[in-house]
Amino acid sequence: MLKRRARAFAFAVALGLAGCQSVESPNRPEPYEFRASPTDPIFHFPSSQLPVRFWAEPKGALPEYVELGMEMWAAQFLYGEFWGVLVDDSLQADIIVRMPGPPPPDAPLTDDPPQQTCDGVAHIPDYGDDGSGQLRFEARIDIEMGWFSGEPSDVANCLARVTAHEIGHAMGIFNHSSVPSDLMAIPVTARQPTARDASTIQTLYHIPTDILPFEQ
Amino acid sequence: MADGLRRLAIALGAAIAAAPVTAVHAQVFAEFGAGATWSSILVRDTIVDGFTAQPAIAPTLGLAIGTPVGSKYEVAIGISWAHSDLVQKQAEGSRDIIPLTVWTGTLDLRWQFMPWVSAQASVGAVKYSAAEEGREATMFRSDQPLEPTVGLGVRVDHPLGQHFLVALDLEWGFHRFRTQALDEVGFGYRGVNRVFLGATLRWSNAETTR
Repeated sequence: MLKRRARAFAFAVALGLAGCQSVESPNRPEPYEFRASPTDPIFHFPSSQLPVRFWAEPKGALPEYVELGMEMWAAQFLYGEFWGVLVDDSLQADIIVRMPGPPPPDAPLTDDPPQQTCDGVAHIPDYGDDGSGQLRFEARIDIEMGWFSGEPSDVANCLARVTAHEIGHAMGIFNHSSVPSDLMAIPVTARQPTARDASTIQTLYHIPTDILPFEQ
Repeated sequence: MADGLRRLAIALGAAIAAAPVTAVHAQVFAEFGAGATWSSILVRDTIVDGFTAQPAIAPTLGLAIGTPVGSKYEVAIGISWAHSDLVQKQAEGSRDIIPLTVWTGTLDLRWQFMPWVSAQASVGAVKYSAAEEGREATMFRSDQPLEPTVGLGVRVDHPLGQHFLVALDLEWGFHRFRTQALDEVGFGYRGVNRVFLGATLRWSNAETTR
């Protein structure tokens, strides 16, 4: 009786072991170039400086778009390489997102086709030797968002997309994808990072950074 | 999760049915254990360079209650908690990814095959739970399903007064590991081995007769 039970248990264990695939890393899409020029130094936020602190000007739904973009990019990682938080004090932020001009119309995000009713730019600061031989940004990364007239939902959709795109630049992708469906392509038509965007940002965050962020 | 629970329920039912219930004179025992758990690699990946993600050796606490079944058998229900960092390891070094807690619930069947020495077989379920902060950037961003686990162990014990007993436990457990985030990028299941080494203090309402 006992031997039979022991055999049954051993069989169950063996079955469990056999049922497991020893899967190694999956195939990911080829990343695109993330530097503006292939000889440029590399920048990304080091893991020692997480979470990255974002400050969003409290204008319309801008803080929500920033939070959405931040979370979408964080969700491209599996090993905690990048994640961010919103902070109340711009002086404590690593990345500042502003919107000069009037607040955008208040409208929920929809699945409507993308309309170019907004724009954005990520100002990447100059960098230099911080005195210890280490390259470091001389200021915070600054994102400036703007919108034009249009249907309120088109403006909201556009701001959400372009804010996520600019956050991609602020994270270290200083180039654009040549594939129009990628979030980091221009014009921005994707709502979220694609598998190619994910592969690119993952690759970037697994290469040592040459430039460190601005030190407050 | 429902699938995991169903399988666990079937396994527990089968184990209970298999135990010969005789002469249970309302004897019960309660155990508190403490020790450390080593775990094998959860994920092996390559992004630029190859690396692994593996829990660090985890301080572990356990509680169990049970009852003797016949003269040489015992059945117990236990829960254990192990907490450590999930660590990314590669050639250049290692870094902590996120604090990770592993909960394990098991039904244990023990067989005393020598004086003071017993063997144990377990079935149960294991659940991984990562810390909230930063979880959205990890493989644990979605809830990880309960996974069935099986295990074997050996215990050396010694009476400590009339109602107490102290034991040294060595246990091995095996389960499959996956998360939704890993599924989404094309990983499959991975088998995970866990080894616990620890000490247990046991109280019984009956006199220790061994």
